[in-house]
Amino acid sequence: MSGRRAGDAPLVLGIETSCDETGVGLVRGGVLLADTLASSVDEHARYGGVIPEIAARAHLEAMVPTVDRALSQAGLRHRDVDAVAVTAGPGLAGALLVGVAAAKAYALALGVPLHGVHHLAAHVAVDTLEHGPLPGPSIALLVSGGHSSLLLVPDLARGEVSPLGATVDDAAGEAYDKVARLLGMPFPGGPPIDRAARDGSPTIPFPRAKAADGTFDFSFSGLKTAVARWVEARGRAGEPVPVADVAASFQEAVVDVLTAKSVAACRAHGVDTLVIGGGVAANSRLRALAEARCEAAGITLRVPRPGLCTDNGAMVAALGSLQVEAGVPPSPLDIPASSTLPL
Amino acid sequence: MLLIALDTATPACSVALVDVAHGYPPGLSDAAATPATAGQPAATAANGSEAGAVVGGQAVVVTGRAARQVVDPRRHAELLVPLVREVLDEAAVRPADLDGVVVGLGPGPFTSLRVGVVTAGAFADALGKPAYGICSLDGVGAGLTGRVAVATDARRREVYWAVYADGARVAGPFVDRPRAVVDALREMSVSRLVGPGAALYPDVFADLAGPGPHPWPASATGARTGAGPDTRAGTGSGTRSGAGPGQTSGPPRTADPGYPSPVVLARLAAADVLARRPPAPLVPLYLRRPDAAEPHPPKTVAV
Ligand SMILES: [Zn+2]
Repeated sequence: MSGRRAGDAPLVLGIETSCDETGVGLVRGGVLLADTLASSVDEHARYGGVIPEIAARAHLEAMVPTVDRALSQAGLRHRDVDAVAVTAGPGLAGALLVGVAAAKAYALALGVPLHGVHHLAAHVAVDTLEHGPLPGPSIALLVSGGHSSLLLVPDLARGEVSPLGATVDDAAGEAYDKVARLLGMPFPGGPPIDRAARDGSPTIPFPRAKAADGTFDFSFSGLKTAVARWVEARGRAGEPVPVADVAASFQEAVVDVLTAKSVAACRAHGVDTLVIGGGVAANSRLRALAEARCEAAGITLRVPRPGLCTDNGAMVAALGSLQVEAGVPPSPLDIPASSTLPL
Repeated sequence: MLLIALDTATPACSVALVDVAHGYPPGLSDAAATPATAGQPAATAANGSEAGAVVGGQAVVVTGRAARQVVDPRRHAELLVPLVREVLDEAAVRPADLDGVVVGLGPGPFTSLRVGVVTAGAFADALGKPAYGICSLDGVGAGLTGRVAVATDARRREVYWAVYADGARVAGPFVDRPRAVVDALREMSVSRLVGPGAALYPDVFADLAGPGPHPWPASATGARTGAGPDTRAGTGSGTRSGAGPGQTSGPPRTADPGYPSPVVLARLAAADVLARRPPAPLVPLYLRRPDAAEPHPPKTVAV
């Protein structure tokens, strides 16, 4: 982008279908022109989790209308698109395939290059839409219903993203969903727990698994079990469950480990920028604690606005835009969708 | 008018570039394509290069310009768009030259089926051209005369099936266990079953075996042969271009089980295409609900 007007840069259409959101974004030269979303989250709510076949059907139904909505939101036409980017993985296999097949069709029909991108790298890239290019090597903490990962990001556009650690069992957002269900709250569990926690105090000493094990891995399965046992014990004793305190204590245990390990990762790699992304980045307590700890450690914290933290097409278009401008070669039209795509 | 037609509802990933026009093909007399003999759909000209049909009371010429088919049930998403490009390149046609897209809506295994449907929808959307959906079983049954049933693999020990009378679907599509299909066909006095599902349960379907459908590029033709890549990696994977197995060149291959023909699908959409009728939304024929069970209520009732 340097020294170049956004108006001259290539227009990148980004498509994201790795989970339950059909996202389409349009980015030109680091500027977000449109970001449209169709979500099947309501259809999954009664099952307490995302049902892959329901998600895939919803993607198919929403795909073309969501692309058209993005273009009309930006006042652009299909033939204005200069490149198509798509999440090639990781994610739900059947869901990914809908986006990948659509992206290939758009690329071939429009005669433009295709860029298959990594979902986690796209979560990091979306921050550049709000806060500009990453200054140098960064650490990224990505937390959502599907992932909990710490990444070292030397050069995003060139795809240089290396995993430092990840959850060994449940994703952070998954733990939120399970604890929310236990407390009689709706799916997804992040927002209701965050709200309930504001009225409680984090006084119950739930465990911080792996907090001091020296790795950058996470584990949230034991925490979820500890909350369940604690709640059951109250029930057996005939005592009411202090929902707000349980929510606050659970949440504190999660964000304590997440932020402590993120700061430790920055220190270990001599990096002074931390980017947080993923749906859980919208969590108010995670933001507050990360801000406090980063400030104390002299680390610049970058968190995109909540609407960009969750899965969306803008993040895919953002990474595609960085790749196109950096001259990264496009993907062949036979790239697979990979549910376990490595970084 | 130039159409890209595709189908991914069976292990075959099939693409054809098809020209549809009003009128009668050369080599086919007017009489052969009048409504009086509409019971013979897809009448194939002696030279095999063009097919005439009466669609919606109008005579239509359907010409296959190029075609590809690869049988590999797990790689439709990787194969399909490159095959579309090959077909366009072979005929020196640009995407923008197309007038529309035709796609098999299934029934078929969901993941593969969606690849075809979303590809068709996105391709047409990008070009601002219509996309027409046709039942994939029609891609077999509409090319047959007499009373005949068509079956494809629905997995889980079931088949997708439909019944045709002189090329017109009169029952289905359904999904059922093979035994139930046999019973239903007996009741409907249908004594012949074809399609890739028929060979899957030879014991159950033994009494219904009959001559299969005409292999598709042979009835589709105009398509050149031999331009496609050869057999690719993967079990049971092979690319076929242009010629059907009726032609004797090349090594022997397993019999074509009669996969849906994209050329037949294009023919079935031809009347709508030629009349520029707006297409219905592309809705896959799933025939089954998603597998999803509601969780048991939490053991602990909090608060
Ligand atoms: Zn995500």
